[in-house]
Amino acid sequence: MEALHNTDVKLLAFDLLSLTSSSSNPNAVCRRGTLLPSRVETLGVVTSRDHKPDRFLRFTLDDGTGCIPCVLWLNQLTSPYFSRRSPPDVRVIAEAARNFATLIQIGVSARVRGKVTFYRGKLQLTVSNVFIERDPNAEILHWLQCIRLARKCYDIVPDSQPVNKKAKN
Amino acid sequence: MTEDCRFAKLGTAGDVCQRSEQCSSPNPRHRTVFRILQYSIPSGALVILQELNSSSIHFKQGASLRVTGKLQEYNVDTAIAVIADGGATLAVDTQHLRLNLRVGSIYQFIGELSIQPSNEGILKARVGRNVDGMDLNLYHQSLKLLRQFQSDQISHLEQLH
Repeated sequence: MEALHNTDVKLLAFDLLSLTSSSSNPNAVCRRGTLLPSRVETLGVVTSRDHKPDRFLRFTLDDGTGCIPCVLWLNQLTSPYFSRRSPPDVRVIAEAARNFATLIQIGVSARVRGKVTFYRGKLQLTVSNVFIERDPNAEILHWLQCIRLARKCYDIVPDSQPVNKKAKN
Repeated sequence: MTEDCRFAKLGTAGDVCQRSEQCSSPNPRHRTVFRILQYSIPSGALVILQELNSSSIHFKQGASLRVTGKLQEYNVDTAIAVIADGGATLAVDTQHLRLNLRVGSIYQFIGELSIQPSNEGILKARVGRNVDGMDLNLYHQSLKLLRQFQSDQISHLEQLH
């Protein structure tokens, strides 16, 4: 997982939805027995939208392999979570979140980055960044990148982990 | 909240229209129903029109699909669009969409398949977008790779369990 430090793991929805929480590392998730950073990037069509102004925007992202529940927090100016941070910084974060919320409309193709979290036992993506893709071929490129990265990078099990697997081989 | 609000009609997963978020229902139950459904909205399976015949596994009542094709016809009165790709066509009910449809442009729709008594399918679209500029040949080829990858990953996962 060290090799993926500070990167957003690109995953297709079916792969992302199969992740489980890691008991040993709060910044990691478990993918088929191996740890990956919990920061991910995905791309899909927005298929639902539930907006609570100054609280949150919940939406779903459908990439054809699954439907990812996403939450974009909009409560930075009132949440005690941000009270220790400098007010100008919080205002910038809040403004960015509000802008992202206006971009998320049903039918748009959105590239979303965020952290995989679990709410009431169910996986969701806590969104930190949104980019609207205008190029209709962007989703195809995303599929191919996800396939390549999974095969060349995420599926490669580090030597230190699969002791019993090596024994089997 | 008006009686004809789409919230009141939400009964099955995926039955979400693009106007639903505008409901100002004083009844919290409607919003709760929407919220629950939001988390059970099915993904539209990626299909190409040539595959969508009566023997296809996707040709089922209520199947959630994502289809892509060039707009061949559009009836303003019925809001029925006909899209075509590779010689195959599909009727799409666009009554819940806010989309300016232009014949000759390429569109992608996500919705649920409704099979008519004549055994013809019509997609009740809940999401639509213009995808002019999409390389449909690349899309078809990449979709094959995607399906192969998904199948490999799922069988790998099953082996682990």
